[in-house]
Amino acid sequence: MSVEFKPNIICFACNWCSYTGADMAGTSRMKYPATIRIIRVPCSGRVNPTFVMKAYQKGADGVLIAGCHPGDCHYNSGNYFAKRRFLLATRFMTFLGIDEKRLRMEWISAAEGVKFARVMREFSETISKLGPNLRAREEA
Amino acid sequence: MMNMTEKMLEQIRDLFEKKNIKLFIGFEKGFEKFSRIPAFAENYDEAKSMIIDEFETPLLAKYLIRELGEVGAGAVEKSERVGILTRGCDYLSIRRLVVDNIILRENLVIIGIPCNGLIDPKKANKLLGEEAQEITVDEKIVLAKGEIKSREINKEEILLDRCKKCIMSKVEESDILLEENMDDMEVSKDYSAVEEIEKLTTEERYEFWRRQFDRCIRCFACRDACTACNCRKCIFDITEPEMLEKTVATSEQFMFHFIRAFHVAGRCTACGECEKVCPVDIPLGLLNGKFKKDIELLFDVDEAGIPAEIEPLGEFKLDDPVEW
Amino acid sequence: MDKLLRSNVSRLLKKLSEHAEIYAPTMEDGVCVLSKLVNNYDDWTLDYVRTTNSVKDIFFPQNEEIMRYKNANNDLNIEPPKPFKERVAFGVRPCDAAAMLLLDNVFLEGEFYDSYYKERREKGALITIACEKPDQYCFCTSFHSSPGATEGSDIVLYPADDYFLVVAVTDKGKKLIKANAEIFENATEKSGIVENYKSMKTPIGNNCSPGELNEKLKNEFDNPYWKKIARRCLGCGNCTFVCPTCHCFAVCDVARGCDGKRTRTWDSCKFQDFFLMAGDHNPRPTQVERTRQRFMHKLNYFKEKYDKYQCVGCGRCVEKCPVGVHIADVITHMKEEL
Repeated sequence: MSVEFKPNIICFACNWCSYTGADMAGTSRMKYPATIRIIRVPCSGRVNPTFVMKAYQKGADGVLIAGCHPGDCHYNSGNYFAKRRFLLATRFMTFLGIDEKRLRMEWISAAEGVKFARVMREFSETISKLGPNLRAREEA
Repeated sequence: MMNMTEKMLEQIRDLFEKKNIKLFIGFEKGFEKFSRIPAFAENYDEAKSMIIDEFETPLLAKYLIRELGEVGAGAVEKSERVGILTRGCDYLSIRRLVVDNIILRENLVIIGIPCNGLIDPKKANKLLGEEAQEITVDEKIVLAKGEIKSREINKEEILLDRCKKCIMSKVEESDILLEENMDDMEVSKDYSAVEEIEKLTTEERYEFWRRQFDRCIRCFACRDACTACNCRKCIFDITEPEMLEKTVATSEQFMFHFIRAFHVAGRCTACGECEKVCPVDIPLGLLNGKFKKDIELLFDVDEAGIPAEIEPLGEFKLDDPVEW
Repeated sequence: MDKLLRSNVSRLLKKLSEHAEIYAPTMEDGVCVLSKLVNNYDDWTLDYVRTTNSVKDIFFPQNEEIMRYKNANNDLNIEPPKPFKERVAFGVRPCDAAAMLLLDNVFLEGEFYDSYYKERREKGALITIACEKPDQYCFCTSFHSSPGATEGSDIVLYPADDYFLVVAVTDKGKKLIKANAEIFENATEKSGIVENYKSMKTPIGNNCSPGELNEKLKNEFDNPYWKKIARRCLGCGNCTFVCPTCHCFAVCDVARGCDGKRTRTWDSCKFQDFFLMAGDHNPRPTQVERTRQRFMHKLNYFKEKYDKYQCVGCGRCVEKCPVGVHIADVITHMKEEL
């Protein structure tokens, strides 16, 4: 009997846009996979690349960082800084041999419940296809 | 080279007598024949053993944190200054500390010396096939004499690894310049080693780094030797939350090297000291080089190794590339 | 006396691997490390003076699981670590083998012993290769050893032209040779090879032999020399981690919810958090105290307790120290000064 692979996905969602966007998706009764665990952060700029590595280490198969659209940041510029960090982090992860598809960044506003659900579905599908992440992951 | 040493000693005497310095940091001979180690002099007599030559030396800038920095206070004006012997790589590291507000430039007296690359005695021994008893450097030709053999070696061949990647051979803001650089060393921007790794497949890259990282004994020499690593409390020493556990599993090694490299991304001066001090020869320069290359490519920075008031990761442009 | 042809070494390792894990020096990206061989028994090398990691790694690993625990419904379940396999370390240097005797003092002597270490030691064998060419960092001769010393080893191999002269030191070694007798050959001519190795001198010779230094160091707690060398020290743990005799460790739990494991890992007196106590008090707050601790432990405290200096002169710390803190330098300086 083969057990279907259910990925573990960590989503760092910014408090002001993406987290509210997830709320929107919920209150609108939209469906998205239960493989996503959301961690609320004050701003996408709060996401230290270390968090991403830690997530992989502790068993995440994919990590998604969601923040406000450029120009909409509650703190004016947090998401721009996040973007720079993200650009370097993905490239560096790839350099170390971790699949770049496992890290994704999206801009999701508070009104975009539909987009939130769509992104989660897409990402969950990508990760399901990639299979479990065994790289840089701690042994049981 | 004796000439330069004498010039330096003269300047040091002058500094201790007139310029009110409390300490001078330079180099002296170590226990090994060709090792040059950091020396600290609190008066002219102690400085007499100091020497300038072309053998491999460690960087001195890191010591300024301990000698001049004030824990938790940021940079403070001191009544007495510290003198330091400086080459181009050291100069960038000093600038790093000044920009990071660890020390004040006013508290320093920089004696600049020209540098055309340092030589690695270990490499000379290897080429000679025995332990060299005497090594003399004459511009570009090095004469190494052992007990049995002697050999003329091209200086390029036994240059220290980090000197091959030098991005700054001059000391720009020295207070005292002992000599001008004889000829400007070619400052090269060579990412071929990084590109070599980039060409591999994801699997090969992971295998490569796993093999390298598994060798790591977590002695933290790379952190302790690095001038960009000047946090008051290092994240690796913090136990709550424990970002890095003491266990040495593969995942922890990835964690460690990821964090270390990311923390100096955009701030690394490419001095290559981390790679040099590593006891198990992990190519840390590749990790730092990857960031340097990407920063220059993505954020339109000319030379990511030169410390600037605002760091590449401390600013943004509205038209930064989008890669997703 | 037996001899072992160099071309037969791989065969021997393969044979031994049937019952034991094999560790041998291998070249990895230009660095010689003592690593576990799995199906690559030709990969061993002789092209080294000392391996980067010492043989300590095998018997007292950097990372060792002590137990696992599970707590489900208030039912605590403790799992002991998996039993160790037999191990054979091939290509150890005489200094490293001698260092194991010092670790034995620490972990096995006295009323209490360290069960993990004991089990590993009992199941481990050391096949030493005498040093053909000590380099400028070696100073084993200062510590009553030599490039051909047999202390601590089970078997010592003395390199000759295309073979090794085999000397079995312990019963374990003799048994090992007997069990693999078909690989060894009888050596007919008896020559002075072994004596040559034993009388060989390292470049530093015995110039930095500490003698009775420990007595003198007793009163040198406040010697300004400690301050002088500590000023140079960067505070990395390099010297203690590559040292074959340093044995400080920390025990830490890695827990996830109610489950977890307890591991023992190396720790270093050079780290600032090594002495840190609850309440944030640090009895050795600066590098001066920490540097002094390292040398005093090696040259004074250990000698007081076990009547041996805790150094074998392998030269690793000296080779690897980025700022040239040199134990031979410390010894010679102290001998001159005191």
